[in-house]
Amino acid sequence: MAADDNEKTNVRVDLVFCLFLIVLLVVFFVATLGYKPVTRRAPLIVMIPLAIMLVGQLAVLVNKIKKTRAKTVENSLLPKIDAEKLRKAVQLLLWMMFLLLMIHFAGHVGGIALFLILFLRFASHERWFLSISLGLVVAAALYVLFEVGLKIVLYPGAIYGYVSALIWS
Amino acid sequence: MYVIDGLLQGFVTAVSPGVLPYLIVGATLGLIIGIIPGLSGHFAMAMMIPFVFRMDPAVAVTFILAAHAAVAQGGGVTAILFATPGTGQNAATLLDGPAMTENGEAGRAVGAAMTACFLGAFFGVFVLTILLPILRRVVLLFGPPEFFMLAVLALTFIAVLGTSGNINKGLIAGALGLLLSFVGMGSVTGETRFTFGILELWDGLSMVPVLLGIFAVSEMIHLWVEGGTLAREATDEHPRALQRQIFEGVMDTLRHWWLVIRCSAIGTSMGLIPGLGSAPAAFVAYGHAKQTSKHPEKFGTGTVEGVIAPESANDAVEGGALASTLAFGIPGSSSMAILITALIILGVEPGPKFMVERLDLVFLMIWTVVLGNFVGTILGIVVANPLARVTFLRGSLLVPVLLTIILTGSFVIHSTWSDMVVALVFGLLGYAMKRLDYSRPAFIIGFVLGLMVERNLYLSLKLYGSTFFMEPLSFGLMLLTIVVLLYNVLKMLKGKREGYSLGS
Repeated sequence: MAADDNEKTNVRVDLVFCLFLIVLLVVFFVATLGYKPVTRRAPLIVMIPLAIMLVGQLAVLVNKIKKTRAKTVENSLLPKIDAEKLRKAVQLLLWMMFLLLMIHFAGHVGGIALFLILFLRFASHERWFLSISLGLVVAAALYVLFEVGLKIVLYPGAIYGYVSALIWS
Repeated sequence: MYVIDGLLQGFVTAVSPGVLPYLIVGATLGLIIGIIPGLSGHFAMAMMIPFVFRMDPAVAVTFILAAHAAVAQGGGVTAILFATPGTGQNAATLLDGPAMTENGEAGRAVGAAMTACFLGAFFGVFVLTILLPILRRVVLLFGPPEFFMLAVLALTFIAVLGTSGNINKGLIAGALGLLLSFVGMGSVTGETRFTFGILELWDGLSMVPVLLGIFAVSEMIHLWVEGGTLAREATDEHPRALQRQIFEGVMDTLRHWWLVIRCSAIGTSMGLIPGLGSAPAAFVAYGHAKQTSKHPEKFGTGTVEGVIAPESANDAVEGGALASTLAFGIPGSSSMAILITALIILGVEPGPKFMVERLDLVFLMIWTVVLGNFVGTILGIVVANPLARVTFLRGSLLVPVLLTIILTGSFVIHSTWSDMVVALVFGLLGYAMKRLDYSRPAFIIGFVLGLMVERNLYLSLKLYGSTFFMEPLSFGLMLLTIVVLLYNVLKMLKGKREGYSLGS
């Protein structure tokens, strides 16, 4: 029964994803119309079979949902997406956006250290000692590897840029 | 006779005290760079160019090529243990490597991959040595129409690898990858496409962040959502047990010697064709292994053949790529383009004259690939043990740490903040594709081949008009594509009749 529910959930999510791809394709198609013939040739050659395949996939999915609904009244109530999994996925997405923001403002090393400490403490529920030590060690290791070892300048961050501009002015 | 003399001379030079340390250091650095997600073989070679300006050409070439040779081994280790390909060429290893780790066979997968890498590289340079005199005629048969058809054939091969036998989803993924590769300035007209006013998209979507997003970030999301550790079914964490597994993996590869030879032959032949590179070769080899296997249904669930096939092919590619690079001055891959740049800096120009005047360097390169891979294999097996133990850590610790490394890896190639955003966006797309059984490898291959497809399509139409596909060789490739597609569609329909459906 659980596997059956899981399959139905996948069909539902698959349908949403398929619709998303169709919308994306339509947006790309409309944009293509404004390009020179040579520029739009290759994209159009790809878009035509892609559109056919997407419509085919959509038909298969709609058919599947119809069949499921026709079986019994009970089965027609398609299960909702696993709320717990969705919550965890959204949570990680928000944390990743937070990481990008931290890097943008505090720079690579500072941002990563801060992100790791906060993530490990509040999302992974690790002890403060482990969170702080792991955060600092990983940030230091990345600095040594990239900045010192490979001579790659990591992103210094907006705060660094602002402070150095203040000092030099 | 000159071949045997050259091989002996090349070996003596490679193991001489003035060259060997550079070979070992180069291979070690290559392995480390391969382990770091996002840093590819090109990165390893490009990083070394500033250090070789004042070196003797023999030493410089050994240093650069040894690093490049060992990169795939490092990438293979992380692809298997963390489902994060260190380099693009290890993407095919993701199909079975991580599944073996989940089954508690991480050591076995690493042992098999390392040995397959070494044997594949050995096969590649062995063929290179034998075929050098006749290569020119073969490679020159390929023009734009053939390259275009070859790309279509490669994509078709990849699409049939879509999980659950769903060819439609595989083709959708491949076409989507192709379409997204057109973002940015057009390769023919220079007109910007699909940028929607975003300046950062003018140069197109960078390969590394897209790859890291589709394969690495998505795996992190999956691991976080599902919880647990990378090695969910692992039971024995003792180092000796892992060493036993590694040894078992080595023996597995030796037992599958015929598969290694076939996949190495695929890799070497695809390496001969400039532009295709090792990622498609690895996928084609995987497809071949799956189609010829007695138990194809086990592929994707963690079978050792699924690791041996791509790993032997992606290293065998280098032999073929090196052949066309050295003989014709045509880079067989982007890494080979960097090698050509380095050689020119050192005052050596590859091409037909190079084969006559610097035969000593040619054989030194051959030995460097063999010995560099050997060093990489030994180190890879040693490093695998501590790395394999890391996979037993819980996901809640690994996910944030690996995420920071992955995002840093996507940043360092172009040093742009927006590449990290690209990795994040494609991470979400990759997670959706993973969950819904859309083939991520097909997407990536479509993305990689986009530029080549467009350029060769343009040239084919210019040179031969709209009937370019009727050229003998391209017609043959087109027929082969149709046969492959029809065979798999019929196979799928037959399977559907026996119980598995098209849309699931």
